[in-house]
Amino acid sequence: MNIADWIVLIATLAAIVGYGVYKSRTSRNLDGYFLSNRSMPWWLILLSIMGTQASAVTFLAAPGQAYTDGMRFIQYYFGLPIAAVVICITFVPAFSRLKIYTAYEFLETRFDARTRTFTAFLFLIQRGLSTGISIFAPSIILSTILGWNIYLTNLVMGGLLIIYTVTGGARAVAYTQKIQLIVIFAGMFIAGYYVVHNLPQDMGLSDALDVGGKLGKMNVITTGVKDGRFDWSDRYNLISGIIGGFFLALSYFGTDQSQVGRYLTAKSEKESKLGLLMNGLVKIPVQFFILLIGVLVFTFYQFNQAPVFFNEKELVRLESSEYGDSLATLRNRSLSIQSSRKEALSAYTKTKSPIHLETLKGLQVETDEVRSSVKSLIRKNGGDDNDTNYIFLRFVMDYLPVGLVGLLIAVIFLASWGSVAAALNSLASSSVVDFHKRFIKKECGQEEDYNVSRWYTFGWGVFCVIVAMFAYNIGNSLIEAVNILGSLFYGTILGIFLVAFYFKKIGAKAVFIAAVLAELLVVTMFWLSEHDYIGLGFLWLNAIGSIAVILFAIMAQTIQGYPKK
Amino acid sequence: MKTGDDKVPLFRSWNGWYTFVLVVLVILIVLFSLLTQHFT
Repeated sequence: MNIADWIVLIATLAAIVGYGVYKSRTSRNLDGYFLSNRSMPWWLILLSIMGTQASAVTFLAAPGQAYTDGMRFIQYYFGLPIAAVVICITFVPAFSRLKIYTAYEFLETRFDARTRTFTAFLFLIQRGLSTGISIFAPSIILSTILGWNIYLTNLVMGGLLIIYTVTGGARAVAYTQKIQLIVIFAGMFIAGYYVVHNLPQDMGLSDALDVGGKLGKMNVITTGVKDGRFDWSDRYNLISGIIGGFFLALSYFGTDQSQVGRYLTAKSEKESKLGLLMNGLVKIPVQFFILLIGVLVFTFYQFNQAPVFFNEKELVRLESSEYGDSLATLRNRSLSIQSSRKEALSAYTKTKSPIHLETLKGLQVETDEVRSSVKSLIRKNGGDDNDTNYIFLRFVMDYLPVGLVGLLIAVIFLASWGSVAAALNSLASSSVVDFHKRFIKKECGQEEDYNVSRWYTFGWGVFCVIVAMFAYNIGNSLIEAVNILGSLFYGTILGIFLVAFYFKKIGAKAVFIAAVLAELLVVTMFWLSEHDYIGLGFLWLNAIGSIAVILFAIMAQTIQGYPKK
Repeated sequence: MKTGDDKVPLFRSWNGWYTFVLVVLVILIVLFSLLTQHFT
């Protein structure tokens, strides 16, 4: 990175941290630290919800996801607006009536302390691990840019986050997310502009999308039907997106404290609902444009030589290994393919002829074969063969002008900080409210509550940094890893809440037994799918977990007998 | 947090908002389908 990029990066991050510390002046009690005294308007709730959900994982990996797999990932968000409506109808009124700090407090009033504790415990595991992965995401960037050891980089990134979040509390989290989103949207727009700007002069946005589309990347809507049958193992399609995505979003926004904590800061029920519904309106278009950048980057690399593998570090390792000659051969083949592609592209853009299109498709197949061969060599060399997270970063580093590289890197940090800060705040709030004050020390003064809360925030920050240290071995794209982790627990947690809201005759014992059994079922099905005994997309686990809790709870209550009126 | 009886903005009731959000979702899916067909 150029010195100007470093200045922009450091200045942007320092400004955000400074603003966060400035906005940390709040009441020194639980209401102030965790809920910002329940004072936020709907638009700040909206920005906070968006900032919490859109982490560096979104901005870093999503364009890479579109580059490799096309736009169909957008379908994953189709259930979100439906979930927002359900949450506004049921969850928000219940939470606001009880004036709770965490979603899990509600469960004790409905069931018992054991159910509340179990659910809060599942949340802490799932969110704690996911947040660790989300700390790791910007650390990859630093590590790749600076050549730092990834473990040292995790420490640096996590250390900065802990300072910022312990000082800030919910109020600082919300206000910094506002600024972060402005910077992020500006950065997205600039990146999108420069991708199109760097295309050949006679090629506009529509032409770029046409090329991307003809090569299979504009697959926005897919049915998941293969050979006349619905493919349950297909991860992203219209049905899994609406149904599976609905259950995931319902659980995430309805029961995950990192999001519930956002709209509990609202000054009224109306403001909570508006924030959630507006998120339901804007999330899909925003995500569409983030993914579209990936398609544009793909089209860009049709006209420019793409690396055979986007993780530079792995390529350097491969070069100096016994596979160096094989890599050189593949690189030469890639150069030759690119040379043929330029001719075919030039002819296709002029004539739109099907013959030239078939040539392009054939060349894309060859390119995919080269990439596949390189990945195979990397695997043999003991490296990580997934470069999805590096695609957008590679483009930014190689093609954006001086100064803007620093801004885009800052964007990625800010996106990460926004969501991780909210997550740490929620982990601490659940730890304090659902465990510490419930079991360790029920009665203490406001100042002590405040200090304990800050210590828990610090403790969770340390835990998440430790998780980040182990995240390097995850093979999937980061964005998928976070969502797979969510799907292992969200279904069961959601099922507990659905029973609480809609099945009034089911009691605490039945729902607890059902939750344990449902969680075992979900983990088993995930294991079977991972080892190819069954084919099941991870999105379905949310629905399976929720429905299993409901069914098992009904069975358990039936065996137990329903209480007499 | 205040509960319950705040006036609903823009629509007569919250059902208006819920319908609006769901209609927008349907419109987006239709638009995306047309986009997919057009570009592929």
